[in-house]
Amino acid sequence: MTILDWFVVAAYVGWVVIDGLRRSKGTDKVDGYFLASRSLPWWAVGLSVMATQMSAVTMVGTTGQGYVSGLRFVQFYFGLPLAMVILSLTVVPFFTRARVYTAYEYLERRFDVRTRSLAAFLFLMGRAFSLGVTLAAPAVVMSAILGWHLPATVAAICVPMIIYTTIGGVQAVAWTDVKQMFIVVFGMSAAVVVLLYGILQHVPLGQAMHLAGAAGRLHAVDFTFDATETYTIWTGMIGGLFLMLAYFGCDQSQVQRYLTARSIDEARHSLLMSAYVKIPLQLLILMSGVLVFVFYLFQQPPLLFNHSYDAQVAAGPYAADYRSVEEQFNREIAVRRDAATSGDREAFLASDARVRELRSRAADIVKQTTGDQRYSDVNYVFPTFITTRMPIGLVGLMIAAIFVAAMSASGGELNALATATIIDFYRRHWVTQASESHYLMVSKLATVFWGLFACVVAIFAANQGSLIEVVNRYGSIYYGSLLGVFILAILTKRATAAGAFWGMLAGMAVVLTVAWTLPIAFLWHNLIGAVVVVVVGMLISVLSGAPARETQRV
Amino acid sequence: MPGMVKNYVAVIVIEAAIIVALWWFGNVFS
Repeated sequence: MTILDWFVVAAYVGWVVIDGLRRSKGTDKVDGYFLASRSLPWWAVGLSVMATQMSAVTMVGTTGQGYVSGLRFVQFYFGLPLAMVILSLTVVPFFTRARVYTAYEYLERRFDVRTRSLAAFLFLMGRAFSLGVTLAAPAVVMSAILGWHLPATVAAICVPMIIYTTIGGVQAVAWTDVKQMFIVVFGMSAAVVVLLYGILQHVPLGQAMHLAGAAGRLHAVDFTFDATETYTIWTGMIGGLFLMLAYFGCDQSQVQRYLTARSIDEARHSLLMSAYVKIPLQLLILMSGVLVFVFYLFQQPPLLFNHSYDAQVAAGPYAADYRSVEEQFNREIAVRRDAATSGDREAFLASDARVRELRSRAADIVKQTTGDQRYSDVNYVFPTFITTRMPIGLVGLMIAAIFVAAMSASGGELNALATATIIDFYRRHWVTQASESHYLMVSKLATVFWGLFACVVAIFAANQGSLIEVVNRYGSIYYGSLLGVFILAILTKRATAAGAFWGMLAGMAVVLTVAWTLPIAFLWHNLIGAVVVVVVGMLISVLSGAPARETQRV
Repeated sequence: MPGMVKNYVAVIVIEAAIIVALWWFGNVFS
């Protein structure tokens, strides 16, 4: 990184913070602080919705997945467009007309305070820990790439984010998201141009695509019906549909985005923007990873992209083995380059298989030397390409985009955590009658508290691979159940408060059992959880003999 | 057809077209 690149990083991060602080003008009341006084245009809300999911992990991890396994990850999003249509027809008008601050507030109106508090509690626990993980993943990668200590990287992400989110509220979050989306799309498009320029020096575009396709990188749609396979068209269309319904319909960090819209139709348009744009955007990011793969067919790639343990391996008992693998790898790269240039498909595939095998052996040596069984270099592929191959200035812009992606994805979650804490617990249970200024002050304190909490989790989670897995599993355990209880609330008349509460607990118990005992891909957990909550909830409601009630029209 | 309904139909049609295009793309370059 040159001085110009660092200047670009500092200028962009500085602009985000200063502009965020400027947004604090309209946030002197709770409604302004949490919901921007319901005044944002649909396109800003739509970009904010997309930016909240476009974390730094998306930029470094999804491109890495494109490099290693191609476009197949895009199937994860196949359920999203239909989910957006369903949500636009169902929960968007309900929440907007109800003029609620949180999705869980609606559950009290429909059922009781017990159901609302349980749902809000599940959200707080799941989101607080996942926020830490959202921060930890890019912090680990950027620490390794920039040679910084982990706490310094976490602080570089968290301190600006906590400052502008605390002072500027949801307006600062939303307008940061808008800026970020433009920068990400521009940066990724610039990366594609640089990649194509590098590739076209060696082969025409058609041959480049045939090479990527021959290596399995363009196989995007998999019709195999296998419940243990994570990414197929079925997990995406069915499991992914339920995940997206739960995420956008019941997760406060998303619901709060579209509650800031001016009207029901503007909220609907903001969700439909994701329906139109999300899959093409995800394809752009995955395709960047695929093009990095093709680019390195003609340029010397490193044996492994993650250099965190280089010194330890060089001084370890397997150093000679590692050097031998590295020499074989360099020879094989030359063979693969010749085969790729000449268009000899059989020779290319044979050589590519040997390259993969050598990379796998090198990773095994790192694992044996360090004992880190979770060692992987997938997340390091794209940052390595950026810092070593992109032009001066653009390197700074991309690194800034990764930092601000971590901030903008986290800022929305932080604001949502503060909203649920104050609206669903503090104002509901503890201090029910106080002034606007009091609630505004405690809202800011809650934002700072959850921000610091997330920093501590991030530093701790970075060294605890298993914790990240536990957090992900936990998310899939409660999402389906949350969706189930909202289905009972909005789509049924017979469901009672007792049915909803016990149904939610039953849903989580069943998913927990399935998650720990059966090798079913996690996307199916959302479907299972939702179905169990609806079935158990309706059974309890009907058996308890409670009279049918009108689904609340709000 | 009302405006929002047109949008919903367009979303579904475009998604179906993207899936078919991706499937075709994967088969052509394989």
